Formats: sequence, C-alpha cells, structure tokens
Amino acid sequence: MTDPSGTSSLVRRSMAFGVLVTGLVGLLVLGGTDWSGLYAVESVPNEPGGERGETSEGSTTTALEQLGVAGVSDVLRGDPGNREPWEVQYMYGVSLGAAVWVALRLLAHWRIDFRTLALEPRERPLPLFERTRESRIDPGTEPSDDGP
Amino acid sequence: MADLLTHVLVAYVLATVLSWRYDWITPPLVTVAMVGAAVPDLTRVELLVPAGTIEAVLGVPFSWSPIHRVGGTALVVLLAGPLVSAEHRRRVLVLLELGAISHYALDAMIYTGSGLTWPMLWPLTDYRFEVSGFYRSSDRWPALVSGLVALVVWMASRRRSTSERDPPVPERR
Repeated sequence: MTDPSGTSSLVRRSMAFGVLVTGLVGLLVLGGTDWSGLYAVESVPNEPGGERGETSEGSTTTALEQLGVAGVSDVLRGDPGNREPWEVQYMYGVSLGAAVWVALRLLAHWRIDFRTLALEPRERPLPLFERTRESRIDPGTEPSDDGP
Repeated sequence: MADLLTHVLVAYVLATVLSWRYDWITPPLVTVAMVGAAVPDLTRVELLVPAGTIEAVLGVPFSWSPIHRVGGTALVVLLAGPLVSAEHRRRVLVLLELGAISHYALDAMIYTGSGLTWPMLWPLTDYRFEVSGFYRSSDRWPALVSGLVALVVWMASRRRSTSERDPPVPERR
C-alpha cells in the first residue's frame, strides 16, 4: 500500500477499485433477491408515531416491499399515516441541506491530483472554508493578496 | 434513521473533538468523517435511480438497501481506499469508518415499533438488536441538540486553533 505513486500503483488501485465495485454490485443484486432477511426490519412498522405494538407488524410494509422499495422504514418513505407531511418535508429539507454542506466541504478540502489520479487534501481549503487560524486577521493588519 | 443533518453534525463533533487529541486529524479529515456518516444514507440514490429502473434495464434483482447494512457500507467505505493517495489512505479509511459507525450508533437509538433494530449486520446475519429507542427520525430536537453541540465544539476549536496551534501569520499566501 505504500507503493510510490506510479503506473504500477495506478494499475493496482484500479484493480482494487474494480474488485470493490464488483463486490458492491453483487451485494446490491443479492439485496434485490431479499437474501437472508435483508428487509427483516422493514417488514416491521419502524419509525412509528404510536406506542409499541400499536400497528400490526408488516401491514404497511409488505406492499411497499413488493414495490421493491429500498428500505421501507427510510426517512424519505416515511411511514404512511404516522408522519405529518411537513415532518417529511422537514426531513427532506435538512437532509438535502446537509448533503450540500458535506459536498461543499469536500470540494473545499480535497482536490484531484491529476498526476497520480488520486484525491489529495488541499494545502489550503477554498476561501469560505478556511480554518479560523488561517483566516485570522490581526487587528490593524490588512490581508495581503490571496494570490493566484 | 435520523436525518442526515444530525448524522453529519455528530460526525463533525466526534472528529473535531478527536482532533484535539490527535493532531493528524486535520479539517480535511473531519470532512471525511462527515462523508462517512453520510455513506449509509447513499440508499437515497433510490430517489434518483430507483432500483426498479435498474432491474428493468439489467434484468436482475436489485436493491440499494444493502448500503445501509454493514456489508454494503463497508464496501462503499473501502472504495475510498483506491481513490486517495497511499499517504492518506489509512487515515481516510479510519475517519470514514468513524463516521459510518456513528451513523449506525445513532440509528440504533431510533424508536421502532418492534423494539428491534434493522438487520444492520446483513449479510453476515439478519440479527436485530433489541433496543428501546428514544427518538423518531422526524423529530426536530436531535438536529437541534447536535447543532448546538457542534456550535460549541466549533467555537472551542476556533479558540484552540487561534491560541495554540500557530502564531499569527503576518503574511497570507
């Protein structure tokens, strides 16, 4: 793993990536067959608004399972009848906001090194995400040109 | 599952607090932990590319749900290995794992009707842990509480970095 970056490293990384992607796709296909209880929890009314046992097991989810839904208890599916529409909208909203936040942070902190075709942390984050200490300006000191 | 914001905030707090102890956890690696916390929720790709569509195109059964199980999450996390340089690989994987584990821990505490968790260890086993959760995923307070904690941690981190780590830099590059 500590192989210096080079062609052989790139080949090995590509192979590792390929193997992992193949494994992942295999697992997703396996999931599609509902192999060995993948959906076990989803056949139980998860995320209920009511007391335990208030809803009968499997009632709301069996139909959804038949639709091939990925995770019936999932936030975005909600549990029909248990959540107010605005609650679902709230979850969509903050989740989307969080996704954007993480994506921006990732962009600000990491870059692609085209020499090695690998991700590298940036030496300096993009301006909005600079660490405080880096962007700290002493009183009376104007920031110098940020440079190219 | 909790909303993604809560997951990401918790990962931010964990990684940032750990960075006080371990210098090698830099802001880019805090970001990596936040990404790790989001990995299990990649099942949301379902909204963009429904599994049914893939099944129709490829003609094989398909589901995104395994990504929200240890098997799928582990594979997605490991995918980052070949994507980063060898120099950073191990640290990136550690922080991704940290984030992903925090996601599972948080989700395990969700109140469920059955009192059982989802079969998180799939495909190793479909065992479900007995947990009496204490929040619902549509509750607002988890994001509020984690947001407040994150704010405190962020301010503490700011204080630390301005006072300790390096003296004022007279010239900015």
